[in-house]
This record gives sequence, C-alpha cells and structure tokens, in this order.
Amino acid sequence: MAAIIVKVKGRPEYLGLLRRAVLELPFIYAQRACAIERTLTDRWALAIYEAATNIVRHAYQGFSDSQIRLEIEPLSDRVEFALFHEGKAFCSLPPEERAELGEGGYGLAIIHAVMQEVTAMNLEEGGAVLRMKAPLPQGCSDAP
Amino acid sequence: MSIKHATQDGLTTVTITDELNLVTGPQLKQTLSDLIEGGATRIIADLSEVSFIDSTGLGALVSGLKNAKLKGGNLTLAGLQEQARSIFEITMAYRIFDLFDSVSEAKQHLES
Repeated sequence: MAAIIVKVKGRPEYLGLLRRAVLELPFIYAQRACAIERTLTDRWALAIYEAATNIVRHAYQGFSDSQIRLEIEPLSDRVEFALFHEGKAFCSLPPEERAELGEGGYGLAIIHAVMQEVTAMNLEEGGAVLRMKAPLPQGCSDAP
Repeated sequence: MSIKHATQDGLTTVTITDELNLVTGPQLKQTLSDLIEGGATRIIADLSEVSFIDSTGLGALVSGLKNAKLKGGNLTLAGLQEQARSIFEITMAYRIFDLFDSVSEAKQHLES
C-alpha cells in the first residue's frame, strides 16, 4: 500500500485537496534530512492538479461522484504518483510544441514539463491509472 | 475567489483574490470579456492576492490579453506570487505578457 492515499469525488471543488497533499511532502522528507524547496513542490502540486483536472474533464465529463484516488510514494530518490479513476485512460502524450500560446491545452504540457515517465493505462478490474514520477534533488538519496 | 474592477484615467484595474483555477478561471474570462466589450482595453490584472493559478486560469488571462490586443489595448499582470510565477515559467507564458511587481509599476509603464 502506498504511504499516502487521498480519495476525493471527481468534482472540481475537491481537487485542491489533492494539491495540498503534495505540498505536505517537504515535511515528510525533512524527517529524512532531505530538504525540498517549496518551488519544487509547487510544481509537483500543479502537475497533479492538472492531471486530476484532465480526469474530471475527460474521464468524468466535467464532474462525477465517482472517485479519484491519489497515491503518493515518497522514495529515497524520487516521488511516485498514481492517480486512479473510474473512467477510461486518455491520451497522456505530450502535446506538440506550438509556435503560439493559445487559450487552452496547457495541462498536458505542464504535466510533461514537471514529471517524468508519465503513463496512462486501463486496469483489468475497470477504471484507469495515470502514473508519473518526480526525481528528488541531488543529495536526498544519500540522506540517512 | 472575488473579482473587483475599477477604472481611473482610462486604466482598468482588475483585482483577483484566492485561486484562479478550473472553477474560477471561466468567471475571470467572462469578466475580462465583458470589460473589453464595454470599452476597457488598457487593463491591469492585480494578482498579488492570488495564491494559485492553474492552466484554466492561465487560459483566461491569455484570452483577456488576446481580446484586449484585438481592440488595440493590452492586459498587463502585476504582483505575481511565487506559485503563479512557476506556471508562467513552465508554459513560457511570460513571453507574451508584460509582468510587473506591483500595480503602481504597471500603471507607470502604461502611462509612460
């Protein structure tokens, strides 16, 4: 079981709770003598929020009482995130670089700019999961 | 979130508080659209009380900028907080906006 699990309904007003869980990570790593700057966790939290927003928009068509479950595994060299939902997996490929900034379509670009190894897959038991990893700053993996 | 606006000497300052996100972004987009349709084209968005901006919020600001420029005006941004600066860096949106540390600096620029 993941170290941190947060479950919310698939509605926009609940997504901030997922973001706030990510913002707690520096306190956990501080216990392991690993200092993580707020700017880094701000970026992680934004990517998770964007991923959850995409789930609400594309898997739940705007809102749903179905669940979104965020699992966070704070490892010694990286943090692994998994967002489970009850819809179908949707495209997680990075968008093509655009010459001009438009009014939308930033969500996937943000996720891929911040996270590594972003994958989406349908689950045999139903639903889908979006997984991504964030490397820790140098020095954290050597911490006791 | 609250959105307030005031116009003085042809400059409209739109003050936004709390979060600019999936829920509140569309409200800001509509407010900016209404202001521009109403003739306000030189607009400063005061973001000093905005603690979080997501892609929907950014899209609302880009929409306002485009609409203002179509009318020969501009939408400048003032007082971006740390998290807000982050999304502008990740998306490189800082390239298309004039960013200022405060509303007074933005006013000085627009009046010069």
